[in-house]
Amino acid sequence: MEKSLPALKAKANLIPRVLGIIRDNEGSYVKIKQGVFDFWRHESKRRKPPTSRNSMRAVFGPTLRHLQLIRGERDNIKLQPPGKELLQEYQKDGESGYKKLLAKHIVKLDKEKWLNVLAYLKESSKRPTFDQLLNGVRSQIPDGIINEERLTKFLLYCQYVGLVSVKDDSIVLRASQYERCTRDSYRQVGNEEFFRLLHEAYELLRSPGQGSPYVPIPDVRGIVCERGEIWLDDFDKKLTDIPKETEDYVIQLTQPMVRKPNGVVIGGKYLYYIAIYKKRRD
Amino acid sequence: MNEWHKFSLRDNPFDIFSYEHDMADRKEEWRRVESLLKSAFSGKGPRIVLLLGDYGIGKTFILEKIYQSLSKDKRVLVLRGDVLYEKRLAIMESEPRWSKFGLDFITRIFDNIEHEKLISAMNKVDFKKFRSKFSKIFQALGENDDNAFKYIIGEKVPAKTLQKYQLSSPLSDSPTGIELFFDFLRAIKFAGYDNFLMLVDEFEYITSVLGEKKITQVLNTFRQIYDDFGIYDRRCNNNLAKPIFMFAISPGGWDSLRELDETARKKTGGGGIAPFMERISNKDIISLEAFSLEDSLELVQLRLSEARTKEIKNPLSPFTKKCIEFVHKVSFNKPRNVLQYCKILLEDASEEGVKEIDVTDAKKILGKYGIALQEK
Repeated sequence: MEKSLPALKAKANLIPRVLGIIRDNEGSYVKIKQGVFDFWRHESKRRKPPTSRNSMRAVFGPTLRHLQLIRGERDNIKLQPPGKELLQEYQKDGESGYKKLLAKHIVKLDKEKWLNVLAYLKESSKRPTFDQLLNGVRSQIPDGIINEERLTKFLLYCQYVGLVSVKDDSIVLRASQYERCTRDSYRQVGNEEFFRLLHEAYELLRSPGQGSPYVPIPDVRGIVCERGEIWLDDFDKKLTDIPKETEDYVIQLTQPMVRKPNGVVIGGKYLYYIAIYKKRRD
Repeated sequence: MNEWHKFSLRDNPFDIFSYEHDMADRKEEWRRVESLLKSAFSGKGPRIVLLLGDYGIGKTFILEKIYQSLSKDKRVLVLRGDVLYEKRLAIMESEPRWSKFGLDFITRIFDNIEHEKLISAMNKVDFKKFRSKFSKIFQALGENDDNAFKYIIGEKVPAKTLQKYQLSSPLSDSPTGIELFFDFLRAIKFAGYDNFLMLVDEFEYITSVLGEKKITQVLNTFRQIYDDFGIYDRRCNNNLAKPIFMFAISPGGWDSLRELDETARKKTGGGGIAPFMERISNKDIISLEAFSLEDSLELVQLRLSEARTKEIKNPLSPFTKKCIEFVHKVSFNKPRNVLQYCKILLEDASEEGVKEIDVTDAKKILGKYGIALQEK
């Protein structure tokens, strides 16, 4: 799949408070939108004031999604586990705690989802200028989507969290910070624990007496990642890898009628619903 | 040329198009089917039952088994056919396909009832006691009159024939269609049938090809039949056979309907398809479970036993147990996939002269057709 460096339009220092607005207004997109707009109107130093329409939809929404801090659409927008953690850290330790955690988060995203720019910086023998860095990443990943604006925004995030600094027009990686961030990643769970979390989430979502046993995978994923403190992508990998049948249960994954977002691809099939059956003993 | 006898088989028993096979597993689901239908048949009004399951999980097979088990029943007239989307009617050529779904639906019902059964039912009606604007038509159906059939399936009939049936116009609008349907339910009640069971497969079709308005139109036709039953039944002193609908639908299709229901409720406060959805009780949803390994083994063994030419020590022969375990693993727990893959394996093994089909053969053969490549 083509990798890209996303456009992080919102400023990094504004993220925690927007996360707070989303958490406080969960379930009402109208309130989230208004809250984010009021906040940003107050914070923005742009000559042309931000609009209510664009604040969430074009700036904070996409940024938070790129950072994998929120999931869901409109009234179903919710904080992802990393989003909750960042907010908690911000409330507990202020900006410094938030920065440490955001740094770790960016390192993981850059390595696993984006263009691994930081690793390129680490491997560079010289301290590259902005243009050298841009060209260097481009030559390493020719299919990767990157441009000046995106790299600038990314580096601003890295600078904010203390991962890079700029000296005499050169970009410098703070190696010790980077190294620390690469350790203590999100928790890994074994198959047994993953199945337990999966089953619990499934049972929670499948209300008693409901005729249909099928539950959307994105809903299950949200709960499993939250409760198990599992990285979002690890969920899909784990769901792919675990045996679909145990001594007592059968896991059935099925397709949607039309393509719905946030399903999972297993064995070349796009799957959206999950049902877990207890095996019958006839 | 396949030489099945080398496997002690008459033929390849893994076809997915014939329903003349015994059912593997599904004991619990079948018990629920029987219990729900029994309850519906002894009830006082119409009922909607949902058969929910993924593609290839066995919905069509179950519907077929219900049809087979009830086709000789003297109290239940059972219909199994494509009442949702068969051929377009001749009189509708100039009109959009779904403009008169009510009429289309009714005519397709008649088009799908077994001819012989319809004739036989109409011959049981005492037309001296049965009064209806359509009684001449029903009587003519009993006489195997071609024009009477043409009329009820919405085709053109000569004006003179219409006069003979004491009707002023061909069947061309939904209200007349619904009226004909209710009078038909009365006629079959006269013939001894208490229930008219309609088995409708691939109900998700309507959500996959139609927009919100059309879906509402289609579902409201069912809702109207459901609701108007009481009025008609009272009017004719409880002498109407009850319509029972059993819809087979995929999880995605059912979810689409539920989403549409939710949207409509938000928009209209209970309009749209909500009235239809409210008539389906959670109790009346039968979900077909995914096949476990034991179920797949039972299915393969059962199919093989149907084609055995002689008794064999290993009931899974020519497959090894490990081979079927592999087939099950790549089948997404679907019986249709298990059958399809076994059919392929048996054919190729026969052509290649393989005597025992092991997991290595299965990987090689299925991999050749792009199946289970990730398991290689």
